Amino acid sequence: MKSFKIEDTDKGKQPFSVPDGYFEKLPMQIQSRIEAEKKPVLLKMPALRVAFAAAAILTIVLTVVFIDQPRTPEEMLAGISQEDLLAYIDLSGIEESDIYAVFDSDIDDLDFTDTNELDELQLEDDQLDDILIEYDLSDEYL
Amino acid sequence: MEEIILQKIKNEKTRNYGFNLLVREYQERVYWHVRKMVVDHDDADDLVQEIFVKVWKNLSSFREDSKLFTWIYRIATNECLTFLKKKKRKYFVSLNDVSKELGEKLDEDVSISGDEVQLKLQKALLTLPDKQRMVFNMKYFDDLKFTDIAEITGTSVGALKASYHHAVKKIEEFVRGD
Repeated sequence: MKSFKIEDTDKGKQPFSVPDGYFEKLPMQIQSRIEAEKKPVLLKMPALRVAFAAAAILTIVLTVVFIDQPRTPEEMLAGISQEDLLAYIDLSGIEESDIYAVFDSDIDDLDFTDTNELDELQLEDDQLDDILIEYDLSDEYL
Repeated sequence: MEEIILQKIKNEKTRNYGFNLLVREYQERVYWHVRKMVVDHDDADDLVQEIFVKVWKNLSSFREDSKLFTWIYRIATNECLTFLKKKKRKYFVSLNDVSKELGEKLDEDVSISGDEVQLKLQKALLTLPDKQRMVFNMKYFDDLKFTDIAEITGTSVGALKASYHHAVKKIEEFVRGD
């Protein structure tokens, strides 16, 4: 091809072949692609859907357990054992009146009447003695 | 035809119909424009669909300060160049390796392998940088005016003329020396 000139080529002829009927089908394929892009992405595989649902539930549980901690003083105190609370009160020298003041209660409204619930049980003296001995309460009530 | 398409597209009720007309009017030109750049039919098919999806998405932003077909060509040109850039980056290969791969695809194409001159021309084209190859294709095969190619590529007419004549020279030298 020593004398090749670009004008020698047949520029009207397309150099490649295409599958039969390609251009008849192309508009439909383009339309389908546009429709597919309009739809929100959904997970088609059931296994994946289950996995994502499980992951979502786990996330919620972990959020509730680890992140959504109690915020009010009452809720925070509820998480501390009674022994620890009493030990703290002993060490800090807090008086009963201080505690009532914290909870904003009128101390006069509180009922300090010493009631003995055992009186209401209408037990015979023998039965009462047996119970007090059994629960080691004789020093307190006899 | 371009006027009719634009009229239909502007109206919300006839937009789908207008777009359908647009696809049927330009699909073959866009396909061949793309196919000459990427050689492989499947790659071209995927890119052409992507190009028309982009055209659809951006129809509302089309300003009539340019022709509809130059606007579509611009989208197609950018998609092709991006595709070729990605291909080179993806396989960590040089320009020569991608050209070699595309050259092998040329040999596999039954319709072209029977035409010796066309096969040599296409192989010569693969020795050009992508942008120069694109400009050559638009001028030589698609017979576009330099002013239209300037609008599509964002390059000056003078620079395009120089690039085209330089490409012709390189191609002729390649074919003669092959």
